[in-house]
Amino acid sequence: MAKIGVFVCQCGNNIARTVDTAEVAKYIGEQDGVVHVEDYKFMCSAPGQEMFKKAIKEKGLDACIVSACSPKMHEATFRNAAEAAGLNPFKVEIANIREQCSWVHDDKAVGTVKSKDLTKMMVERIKFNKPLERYVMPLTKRALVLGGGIAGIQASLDLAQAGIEVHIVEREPSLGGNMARLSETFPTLDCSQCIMTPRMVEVQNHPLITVHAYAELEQLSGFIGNFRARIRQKAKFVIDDLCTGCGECWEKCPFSTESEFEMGLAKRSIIYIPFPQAVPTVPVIDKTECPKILKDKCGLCADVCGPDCIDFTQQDEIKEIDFGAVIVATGFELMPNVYREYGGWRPPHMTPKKLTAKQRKALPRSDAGRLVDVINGLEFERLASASGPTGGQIRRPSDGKIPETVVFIACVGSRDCNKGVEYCSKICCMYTAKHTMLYQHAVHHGKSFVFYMDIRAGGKGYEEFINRAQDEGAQYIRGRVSRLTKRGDKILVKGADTLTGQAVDVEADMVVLATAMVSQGDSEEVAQTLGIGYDKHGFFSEQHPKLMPVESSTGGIFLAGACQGVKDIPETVSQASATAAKVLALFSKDEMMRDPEVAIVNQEKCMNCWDCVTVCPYLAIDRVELKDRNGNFRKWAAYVNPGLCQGCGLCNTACRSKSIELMGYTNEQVYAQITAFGGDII
Amino acid sequence: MIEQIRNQARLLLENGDVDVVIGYAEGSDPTRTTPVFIRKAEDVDKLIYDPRCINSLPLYLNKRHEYTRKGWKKTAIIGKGCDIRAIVQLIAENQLKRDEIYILGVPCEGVVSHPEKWDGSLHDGNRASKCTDCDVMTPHETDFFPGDKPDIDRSNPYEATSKNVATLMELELDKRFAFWRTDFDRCFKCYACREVCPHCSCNVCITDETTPSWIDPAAHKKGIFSWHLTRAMHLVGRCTGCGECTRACPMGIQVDLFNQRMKEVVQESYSYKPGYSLEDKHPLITYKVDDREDFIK
Repeated sequence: MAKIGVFVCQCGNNIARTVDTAEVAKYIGEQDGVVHVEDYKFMCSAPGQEMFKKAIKEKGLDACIVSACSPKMHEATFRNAAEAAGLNPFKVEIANIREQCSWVHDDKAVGTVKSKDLTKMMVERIKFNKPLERYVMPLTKRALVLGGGIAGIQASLDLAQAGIEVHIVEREPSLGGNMARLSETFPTLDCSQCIMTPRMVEVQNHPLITVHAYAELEQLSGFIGNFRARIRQKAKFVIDDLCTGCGECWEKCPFSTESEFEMGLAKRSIIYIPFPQAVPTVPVIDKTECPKILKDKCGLCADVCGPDCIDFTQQDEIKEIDFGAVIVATGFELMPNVYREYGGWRPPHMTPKKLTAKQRKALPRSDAGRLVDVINGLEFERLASASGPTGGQIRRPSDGKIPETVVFIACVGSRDCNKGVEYCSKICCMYTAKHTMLYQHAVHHGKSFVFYMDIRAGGKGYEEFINRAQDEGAQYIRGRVSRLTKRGDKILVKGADTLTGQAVDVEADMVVLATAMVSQGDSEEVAQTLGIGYDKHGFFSEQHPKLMPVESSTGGIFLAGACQGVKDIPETVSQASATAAKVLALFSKDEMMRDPEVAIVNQEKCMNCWDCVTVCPYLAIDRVELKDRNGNFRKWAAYVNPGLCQGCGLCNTACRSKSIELMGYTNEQVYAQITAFGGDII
Repeated sequence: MIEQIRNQARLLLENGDVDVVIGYAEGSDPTRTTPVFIRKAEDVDKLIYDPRCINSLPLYLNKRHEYTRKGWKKTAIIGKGCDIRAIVQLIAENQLKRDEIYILGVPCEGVVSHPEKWDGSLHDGNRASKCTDCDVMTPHETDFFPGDKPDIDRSNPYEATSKNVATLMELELDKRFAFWRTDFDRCFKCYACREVCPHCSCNVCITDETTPSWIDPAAHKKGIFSWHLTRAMHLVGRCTGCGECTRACPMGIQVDLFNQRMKEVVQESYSYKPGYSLEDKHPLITYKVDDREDFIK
């Protein structure tokens, strides 16, 4: 006969307001097998837990039910308490009478009846609970960092300095990310490359860090502590180990195309490094453009290469490496500069064809396609950068003239539910102020105008920075721009000043749009490869917005930088360091405990349809051959690897022959629970 | 046509390419045919094919069936289009390997709904309902086919809604429920619908489970409803619509109405029809990025 203890929690007034806990306790006390009942104000408090432990010891309880809040909140609390009192933790169950009962009902009578039912169902269920033991799993103390921007670099350095082996996977030929494109950074106006490149070199030289540049993550299997990554090293057509980075090849390459790094404002050779300080300094051949690869003509780079390291037959290479934790630092994109690319404003991720008539009407009316002097923030960064296409002189893209009047438009695409994204892109106020300063410093007699909605400068030294920008000559106009049109070789900006209530027309030589920061175009596929959650904007979701801001929804995968939401550099760096701290905490133990609530297969009943193998999101199910006593093949059957199984129960529901049981949620337990509640339905 | 099939079957048996040919032969009375297992080349003249050949032969390929345990390495089977869909589905579900079978496809103009309705010819009065909108009259997956295979446009993945299902779906919810309550009153749980189904392949059927007994074994309403609804759900995305369950029912309950309705739901939701691809997994166990999600509210 079971000896079950039931502990009904009032949760202050949270439960007691709509549930008569005393009556629930009395009713449950009359059920078969229940030998001890408590009704207490706060079961999770220290005295509550003491009462729980004392009852287990004194009454010799062999199973306990806590009727309280969601098991998400305190299941672990009471399971640990039970363990301390000598009871198997998996003989403790929570009946949720708060989130699923008291909080959703107003009528106390209803709440009380439902609480009785929920608790009684748990009483019947717990009679079938078996004492389970936790698995001990090994732990691979090696971290994978996805993305080699400032977030990835910071996290890798922090980990490596703590003695952890790190692999960085970067899909571009060089580390650096978006920060490498910036000219100077707010609010101190220090040169971005000057603070960035030493970090990149440090990464390259660190003995514990391996950089997989020009590589992508293809697949991630496994689970916290034991991930296995399939990394595709894209063919560079250059042998890494031999290349000295002398530059002979990219200087001699007779062909060129638009440079991605320079935002299309300059050309690059076909065999190239994205920028002079690239790390690693190994060039790659763009196989979509190279005439040698496409039609076997040229091959000049191979002729001039001293160490003979160019190999046109190179293929993509797949590497499989085990990791214990993953830091995702895949960064952001700027909303595309639609004035240059598409000839009109458009919402992100939406081709012009898909626009509804209403959206089409809402587009700003402009001759935009021809307005090549309308550029976005990152393009301006390249124009202002000393290593950029103009050598640091601000010259407009169309004719290379130094612009006398520049209009900066803030909030392009951000805070715009109709045509863009509804969130505030957060960094644009600051970088626009910075741009005005960079412009004023380069063109002393120039005039700069900023059209803005609000100035949002919450940050250390940020408001002062905005004031400084205004002091240095930027004219801020509060209002929106309705139209950009071509007038001669200038752009007529038609806007409004809402503070004076007047229309404002400015004839500008160049217009800079502070377009919104958006998630990487393929962030959803990345999230699906990793098995982590993402929001409707394509940013990866954190586990808890306040208390777990760097953890993803999947254990062992952490989020750093702008892939999780819009961020500036200081925030990105601190978040990256936070992920490193989380990984170090994970790696502080030599092995990991795993919950025993995993699926097991009755292999005799298994009819090997492999539906379970198809549905398993964790690749935890293998096909195995069963042998008879003479070692002859008998039949195929599924086998669940308890190390990989997360106990999600998908295989359990997919299995038609009911050959799979989920420990802790067995058929018998669930059946007992349902029948304790249900009467005859028909 | 049947002569070509017989010759091919003879050839296969004589050369030892197959161990057995499963087909149809004349039955106990002129309206009936019976499945036959031909093992000797001289017996192939027993093989016939005409609209009386109702039985779904892939049943004998299901691993649950004793015939599959006789140690026959390779089986030749006569298949009309709908049966070949069942065979393809068995292969997709890993219950059968493609190289274990040799499919003798037959062109089919439809079969009778029930042997008793056979009056010497096939017409609208006695044609089985599954045959009215058949798109596999010329089978899609064969090793041998008498004559040329005409190109048939299969670009439209939808099968027409069955008239019986449409009539039932027009009823109000409670009237529909009342219909089943009265219809299921006749069910005495003989499980003929299960035994005749080519896709019921579990070693232990869920209805025979005892710990716990999810489906009440008794033939009262609870037991009957839970059996039929579970059967319908287990066949979602897998049922190839042979209609054998309804034909086998001794009480004349139209149990395949459930399957036909689920077939429509799967088609509408996922544009998927089972039994056409040797590799595709059915939509309830697969995930695609463009899957409909409008049922998640």
